[in-house]
Amino acid sequence: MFGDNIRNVPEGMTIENNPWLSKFKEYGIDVTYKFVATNAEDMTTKINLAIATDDLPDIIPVNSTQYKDLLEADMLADITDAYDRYATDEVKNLLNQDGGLMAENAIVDGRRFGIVLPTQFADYVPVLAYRADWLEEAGLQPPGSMDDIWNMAKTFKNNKMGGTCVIGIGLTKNVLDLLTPSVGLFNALHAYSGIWLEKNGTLAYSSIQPEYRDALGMLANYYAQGLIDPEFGTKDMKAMWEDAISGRSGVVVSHFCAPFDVINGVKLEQEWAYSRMFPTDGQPVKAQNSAAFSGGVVYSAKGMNPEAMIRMYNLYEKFTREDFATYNDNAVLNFAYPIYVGVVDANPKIYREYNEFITTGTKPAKTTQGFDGVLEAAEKYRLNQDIEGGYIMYSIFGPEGTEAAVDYAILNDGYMVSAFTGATTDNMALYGANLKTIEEQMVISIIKGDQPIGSFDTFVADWKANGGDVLTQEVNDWFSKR
Amino acid sequence: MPGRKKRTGPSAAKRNLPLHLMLLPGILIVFVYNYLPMGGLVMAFQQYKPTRGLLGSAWVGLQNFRLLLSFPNTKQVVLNTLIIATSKLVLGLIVPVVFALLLDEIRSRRFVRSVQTIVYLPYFLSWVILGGIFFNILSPSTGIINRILEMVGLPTQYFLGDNQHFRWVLVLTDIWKTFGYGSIIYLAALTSIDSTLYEAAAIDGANRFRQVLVVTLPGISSIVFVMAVLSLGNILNAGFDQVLNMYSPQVYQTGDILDTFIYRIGLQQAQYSLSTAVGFFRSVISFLMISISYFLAYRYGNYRIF
Repeated sequence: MFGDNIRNVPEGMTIENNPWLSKFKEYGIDVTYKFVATNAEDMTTKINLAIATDDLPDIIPVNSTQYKDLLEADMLADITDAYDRYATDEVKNLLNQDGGLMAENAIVDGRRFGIVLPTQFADYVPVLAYRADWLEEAGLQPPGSMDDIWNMAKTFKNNKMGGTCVIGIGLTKNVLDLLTPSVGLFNALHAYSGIWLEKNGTLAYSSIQPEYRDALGMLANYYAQGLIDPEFGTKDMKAMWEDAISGRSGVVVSHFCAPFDVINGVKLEQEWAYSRMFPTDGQPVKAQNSAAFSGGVVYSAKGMNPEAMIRMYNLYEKFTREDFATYNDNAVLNFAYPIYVGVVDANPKIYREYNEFITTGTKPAKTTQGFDGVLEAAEKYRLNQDIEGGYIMYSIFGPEGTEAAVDYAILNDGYMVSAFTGATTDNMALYGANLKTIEEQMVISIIKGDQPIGSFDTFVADWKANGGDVLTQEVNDWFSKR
Repeated sequence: MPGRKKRTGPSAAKRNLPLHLMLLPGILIVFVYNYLPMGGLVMAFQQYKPTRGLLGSAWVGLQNFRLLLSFPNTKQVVLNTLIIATSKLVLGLIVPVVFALLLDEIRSRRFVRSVQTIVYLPYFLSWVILGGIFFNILSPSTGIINRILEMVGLPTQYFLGDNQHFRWVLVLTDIWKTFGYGSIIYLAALTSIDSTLYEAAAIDGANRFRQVLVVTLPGISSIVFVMAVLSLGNILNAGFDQVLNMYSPQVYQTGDILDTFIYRIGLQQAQYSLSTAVGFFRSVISFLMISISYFLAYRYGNYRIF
């Protein structure tokens, strides 16, 4: 999968000719991409089409539904022997970082049918990014509560800071997607969208709970006060960041990657700061995550060399470790996809190591994979204010970086993980799209005030009647069998 | 028939053989791409799994259709499709005709040609590009349209985000994109009207407007009629490209159409049976509409395909 990086492929590299393919070839594995996609949705569509037309590549990244269908149809190769024989200990260790919790999903009757990455969600906590220069100009203190955040947004907007600020806080049109501002705000208000919560020994759907209703009511209130971008319904993440960088808004609810966008503003001499999200009460903010089995990488039963795939994992691990600078560049890393295996919770680990380095001045004895690259870049900014070379890394891993919020969440019970960790069921696939559509419509119309908060109750009834009750029954059956 | 030599079987077939051979590739293509895939309609009655194939998937009868009708959004989606498509049909007929009539009144050939070229152009732009352009033009805070509204003292409108406006935006932008192209056929029809009729009308004291009513309109009425009935087949075709590029969850209520609905549940969630059921339903309605329109065209418009 080639995300936005397809547009910044390094000079001299192409889809046919790049460091990863050359490296694989050097070790006798001739790799060609059957197809490339620009985002996850596109990839899912293309794999679905490949399955429907029985035109699968040998190595296939699949989601849980595709995995289940392929497995049932005997279209997956048994890679047990190849894995046992070829996989290096380093690769095995990386894949079992969560104690084999996720890998279990790829093992049937003791035989292995795919590579599943260990579960990791530590990074996915909401992080606030705001204009530090405006904060000072307005004479405010850095936020310490939910009210402070909204007050800051209000002050920025009412004073038309920078002569341009007209938006309080921006949202995006996909209000229910993970890492969007809306979900960050829900979580800060102790509401969760689209995950399963354990309540009194049974599983309940988070989107029909009273906390969700309350959170929507509060957001509707902020919207009515003009503190939420009235145009959010047509904006994607890119458009939201354009507003921030062009000075139209000064408070962004984001995540640990925020500096990747903020840097464009910093180049325009804006000053930004990061902080964790604060709750309305004393309860910790819990970032939601569905630690469900989301898929893995499998080998087609028609393919001849499952060991080649395992050896690619070995090479991947070896060269991202030994030649970090060449092979771990984001744009280059894309060329190895779907072969990828990272260190679980590497970022918070690197954050701690880097901050230890700053305070003590010496490198920790044992560092996490990737530490050296981070250190090199971040120091460029810390010591020489080299924005291009190190702002992003320093703003993520530095003492006041976005990973500070992640570290805080790890230490302070900051996660709400879905209680359902099984694979997507047939009924979830069947009803899912429609249930999500009615939830999206409900959330947007309540926030914008097009519908009164009472319409939440209609939504709950609709949700239950249109497959929700079936799903509830299904996950509870799964839960009671555990 | 006396005096006329009866054509014998073998020689006629022999004579026509090259013609039949020339027809063969076309028939084969239609068969392979249009008829064979119809077999896939069986999916609508199955719980289809791509990995099991058409023969191996479980038969569920009408369950998919029942499920579809039970979705709270289905009725709205069908309604949206009908309203948007019908508006496009009606305006898509009137605007090009009026435009062609107006253009025909202009003397300067050079001016006519340049106007024609300019209005054809948008037809060749894709909705992906136009979606981005309209997003900017129609934005309440930065868009030029709302700046103009502000200048004349009118309240700004959230065209792409407001359920009241969204359908009109779809219809009007579609008309803007296609009316130039659509007017070609009427301009051609206008040139075929006998100019002596205008002279006769002028001698009888008809002014320009009267001439249009009594000569021009009747002259092109049959082609307008034929175009109208033929477009009835598009009654459930509200324009997938356009809607997909311009809609967002907040305007699902008025902007979600059958095709985008199929796209979301079908391709993205891999629910092939459900989306085939929607597609089947859509095809049946379209088939009925095309049959009726052909009958009408045959009966009143003197139009024959066969």
